[in-house]
Amino acid sequence: MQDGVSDEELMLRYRDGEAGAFDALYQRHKGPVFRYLRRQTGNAAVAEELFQDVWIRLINARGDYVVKARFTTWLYTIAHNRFLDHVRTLGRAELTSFDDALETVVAFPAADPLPEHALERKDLAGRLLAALDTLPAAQREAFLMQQEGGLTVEEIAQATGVERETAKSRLRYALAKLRETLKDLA
Amino acid sequence: MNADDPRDPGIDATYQATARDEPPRALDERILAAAHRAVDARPVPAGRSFAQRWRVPVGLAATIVLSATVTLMVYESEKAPPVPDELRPGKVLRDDRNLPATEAPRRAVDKESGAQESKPEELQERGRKAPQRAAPSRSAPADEDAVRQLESRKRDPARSNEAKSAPGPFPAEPVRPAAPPALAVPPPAAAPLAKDVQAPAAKKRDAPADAREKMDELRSSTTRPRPELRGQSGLGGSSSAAPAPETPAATIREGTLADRPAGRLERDAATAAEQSAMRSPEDWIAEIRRLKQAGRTEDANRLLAEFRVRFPDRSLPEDLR
Repeated sequence: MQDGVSDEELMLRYRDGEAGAFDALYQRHKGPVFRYLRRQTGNAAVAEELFQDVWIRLINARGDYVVKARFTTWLYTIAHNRFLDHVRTLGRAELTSFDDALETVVAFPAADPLPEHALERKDLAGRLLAALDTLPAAQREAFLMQQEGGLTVEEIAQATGVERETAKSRLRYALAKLRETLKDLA
Repeated sequence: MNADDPRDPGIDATYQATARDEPPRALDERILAAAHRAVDARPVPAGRSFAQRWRVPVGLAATIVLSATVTLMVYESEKAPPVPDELRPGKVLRDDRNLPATEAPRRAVDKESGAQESKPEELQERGRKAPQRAAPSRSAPADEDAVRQLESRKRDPARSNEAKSAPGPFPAEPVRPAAPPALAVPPPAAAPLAKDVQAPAAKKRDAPADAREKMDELRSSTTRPRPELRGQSGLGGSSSAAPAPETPAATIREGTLADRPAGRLERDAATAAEQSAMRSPEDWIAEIRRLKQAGRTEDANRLLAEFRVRFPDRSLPEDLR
């Protein structure tokens, strides 16, 4: 019913009191947001708690919603802020772990579409997640926002409150490190 | 998606193959129930967004109206005929047109002696602009006292009215010098502004030192993989699995830091900027309040707008709405 409706329109409808619009929004974004938080926190229970808070914040902030950017950017801004609150609570300075040093970029092999390589791809996926976990939080965040939220560099910069070039270099270094870690599977 | 965004189709495909985690169903139900409850319990007041939408235009309109009013008032006060000297206590109204020929020379002497207060042209102009103020009959000097009394009685209402609007005994004179200070921007106000602007900059300069300490601390922590990761790589079980992922990254990182201090400086700057981005909402609100209390409304509003972008989910305290 709400298939052809944009996220922004759904959010406006929800703001104006149409509860069904929220259901559609939630179905669209629950998985990506949950995975973003799951990979950022590295803990399923914490991710669930943050996930619930993100949506509750969205519900509470609906009255202020105006379409200034894509809904996804707004949603991930809320998720980013909630994650930062969590980091502050823990007293960790994890998000300052940036390493923008230039590294050799090694080409990553394209995914093999052949079915007989499915097992190998599964292993590759496991390796990718493990490598992702070792990234500095800011780089991992940029990567996850791109992959899960489909955010552009500009939108990542907006959601995380940094300059475009900073977001772009985080993303570039994240990809470079992932390629580097996985290159032996080529 | 922009074409120049860094992407890797291979990594994209591999990652998307892993993207299957979903929140538990119970959590879904809780959130959906909360969303429905919120809509049922308290519909969003429509006036709120309306007020927000019109706040800026109304503010601008009010500013323009206020500015126009002040400008008009200043213009009118300059245009209005100044109160002549004759209204001063103890002075007699002078109108050379009605004076006899014998009286005119003496009046001319009077004018010359009072030249410091007003020029003859001005007095003539005043006489033309306010002919009703001139004495009705002054054919003889002997009548001066009677005329003075009559004029005094005539002037009383006007004088009392003018006295209300002008503080001094010479209302026409103080009005002009009083206007510019009221409109001019007081110079001392700029000093604290500049000082306050410099203060965050000084803080920013200090930030890299803290950031460097955190970097060192984090570098040591990031070289250690999380225990759960070790478990994951162990579960992989592949003979071709790479050793612990910290080895290449850590080696590169250490080598880079040692070899390129300039790069480190850049990273420190980036870290400092990031720290400012990590400022908590409470810090933002405190800063906005401080600016408002200091009377720096423009700065406070700018920060408030930035706050709304950075923390769209945070509702503002009543005093900042």
